[in-house]
Amino acid sequence: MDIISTKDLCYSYDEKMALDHVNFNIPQDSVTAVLGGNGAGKSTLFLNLNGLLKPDSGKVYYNGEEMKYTSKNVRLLSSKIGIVFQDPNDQIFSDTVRNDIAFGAINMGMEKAKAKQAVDEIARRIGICDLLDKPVHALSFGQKKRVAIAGVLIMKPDVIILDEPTAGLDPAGIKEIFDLITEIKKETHISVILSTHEIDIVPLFCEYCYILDQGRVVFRGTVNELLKDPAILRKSSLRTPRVMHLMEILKKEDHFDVDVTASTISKARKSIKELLSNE
Amino acid sequence: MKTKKRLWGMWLTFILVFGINLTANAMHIMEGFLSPAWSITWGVVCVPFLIAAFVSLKKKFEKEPKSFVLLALCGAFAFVLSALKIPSLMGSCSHPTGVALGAILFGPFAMSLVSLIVLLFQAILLAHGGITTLGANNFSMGIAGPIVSFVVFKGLKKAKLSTGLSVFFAALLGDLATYVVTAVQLALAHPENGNILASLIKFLSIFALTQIPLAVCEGLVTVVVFGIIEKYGKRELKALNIFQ
Amino acid sequence: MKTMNDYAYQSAIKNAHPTLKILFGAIPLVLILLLNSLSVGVFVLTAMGAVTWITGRITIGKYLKLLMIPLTFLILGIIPILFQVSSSDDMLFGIRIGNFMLCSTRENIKNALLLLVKAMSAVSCTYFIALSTTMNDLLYAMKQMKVPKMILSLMEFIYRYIFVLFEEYSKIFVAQRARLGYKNFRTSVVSCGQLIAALFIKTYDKCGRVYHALESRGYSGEIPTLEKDYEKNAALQVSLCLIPVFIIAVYLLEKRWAYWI
Repeated sequence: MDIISTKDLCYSYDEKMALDHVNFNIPQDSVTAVLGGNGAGKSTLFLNLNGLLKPDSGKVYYNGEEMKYTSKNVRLLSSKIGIVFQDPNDQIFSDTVRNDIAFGAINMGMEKAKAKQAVDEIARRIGICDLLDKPVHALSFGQKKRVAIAGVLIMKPDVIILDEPTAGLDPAGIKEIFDLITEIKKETHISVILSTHEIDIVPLFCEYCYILDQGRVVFRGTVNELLKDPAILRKSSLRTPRVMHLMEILKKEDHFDVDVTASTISKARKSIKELLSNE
Repeated sequence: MKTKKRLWGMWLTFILVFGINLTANAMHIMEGFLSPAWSITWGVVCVPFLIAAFVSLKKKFEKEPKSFVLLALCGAFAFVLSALKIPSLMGSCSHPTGVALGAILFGPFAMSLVSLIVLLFQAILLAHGGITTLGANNFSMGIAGPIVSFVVFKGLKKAKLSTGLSVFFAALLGDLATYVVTAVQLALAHPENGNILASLIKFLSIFALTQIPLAVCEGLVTVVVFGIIEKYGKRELKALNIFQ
Repeated sequence: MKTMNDYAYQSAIKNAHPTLKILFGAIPLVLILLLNSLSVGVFVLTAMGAVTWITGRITIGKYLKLLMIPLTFLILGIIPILFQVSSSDDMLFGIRIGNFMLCSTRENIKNALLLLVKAMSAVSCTYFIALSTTMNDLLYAMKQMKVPKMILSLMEFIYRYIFVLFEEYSKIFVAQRARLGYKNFRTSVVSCGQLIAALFIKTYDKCGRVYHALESRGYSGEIPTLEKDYEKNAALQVSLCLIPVFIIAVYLLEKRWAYWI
């Protein structure tokens, strides 16, 4: 069953149409990538998904139920569908890590003593125990990102939306964040939605994929389906994964009979090895 | 003629010695400079303004929670402004730039409360001003200065003066008002053998050395700032009107 | 941005109860102003300096440098007290400027010196608080003192975003300097104005995103805070009781033996 879905969702800022009849659905316990160039409408879509923005027309369903925009319901939904914002500085408002992580939990009605325990527990899981008593302004960008994720996970959401989780991180930081997500997913069966420009990561971590272009969905399907039709990526200010690009060139220019849909290093390695052993 | 020359020489040496290295705290009355009686008096003088600001802001926040975030970020903005260096003829020096800009953007009411917080942070984070002089500093920089700036700005706008000139004079006079009030506060606390006026003349003239050139610089900078905000920040200006 | 308060995170007594530390700084501060005495000033300055140096894990050089921050104001503020405009019979020395006579008497010098010592020792008290108590703990103490919640939330927010905006400011400033934005007075004024305006527009942009982020975590107009567990510090408690006794003793000694000060 779909945990979130939308039907003909439209949203506009002043005159500008940001989302244009978007049909979107997220199966339970899945990882979905939302791709698209800058200004394609990804962030707007996310804010519509957890009720922070009210669509101009169209509907949003959570667990098959139509979303109602009463303030009580919106608050409930935003705890079930957590968003980790792109810039952790936008999200972390408190100067102590502990206070900031507890914020969502206390807002959900958790008692302070319980919230304290919950903070310790989540910090242990994310590996930020040593940061709890540090001032936020002394943290690195990657550390702030983890704190921001902890602040959302403490609300025990069913869905976590990560807006550009890789932006501004170094390669090691990117790997850490994705390892973290994978681990959390294994433990809690949370559904993950993420937007990213790091296309190389998509085939490694994601099952489903959407491409937005000027507020419209131009592709929906599994990642494997997407990789069979790389033209669509280029049309939407994106590119194919580097490995895949290499395989394409090997086939086109050097006439090696490799698998052009191999998008990860391991798949490419397998394909090249097969080719060599056949010869 | 000769004495005049000597006078200029003294001016120049003085500015060269202190002008280059002037820091923002030149206008903040430092910790321990006021007697308990004056510390309390100036604190009490601020109270009605603060209560009025508190009540009106609280209502606003309840009606529109987003305005809380807006004011908080503006407060942080005001702090950063007060800590940054503005250009002066002697190189750059830091100086509380926020008085006029804050008053024009947020209105004098919101300013009185925000500046109290900003001044407290300055005392603890930067050692500018002090805790016992919080009331006196807030009255000069968060209440008197902004009110003068605000009134001058609105008055000159009404008199159909260009925005640029209105902003310039609002910033200049707001700054000078702050400086005069500070000098008065110091003269009241430290009269010369019981003579407040003599003391006032001394404090006014010594602060004039640094504050008048700085006020002019600040006026120029504020004009540039306001020109850009007016051109590109219409939406922001409209949103801020709610505090006035 | 490096602030004085950053040293509080390395202080040996950072986990002591903030109210205790505030009182430890505030009581001598009030006594200095009330007693108006030179020897009390010198005593407090030395004592506070020593306590801050020992507990603060800060080098003496750094501490002295911090003490120099209010120097400009101090000099500007002391000069008018050192001189008087009207001439006096018991003047020690004087300068004639045009028709004015600036002169200095024994009384003037005494007042100026007293003010200097008082101000510096008062500064040392504030520094003790600033260098030992983190902002979060100060807010907690203010909460105990019944400061309205709205103001505390506002302060928590402002404090956090000071650093965020300062970072933005530094980035723009460096970018401007890299393109010679501050090469002379005129370009400096324009660059500085542009910087402030850009910072303002950025601040406003941020506001929308910050609010969304708050809302998505269930913000309903209130910012709850978690209390920390503070350590008991007997040494600090004992010294808190002893310091006023010492101060008063020094004061009485001065009145008894050194009444000529």
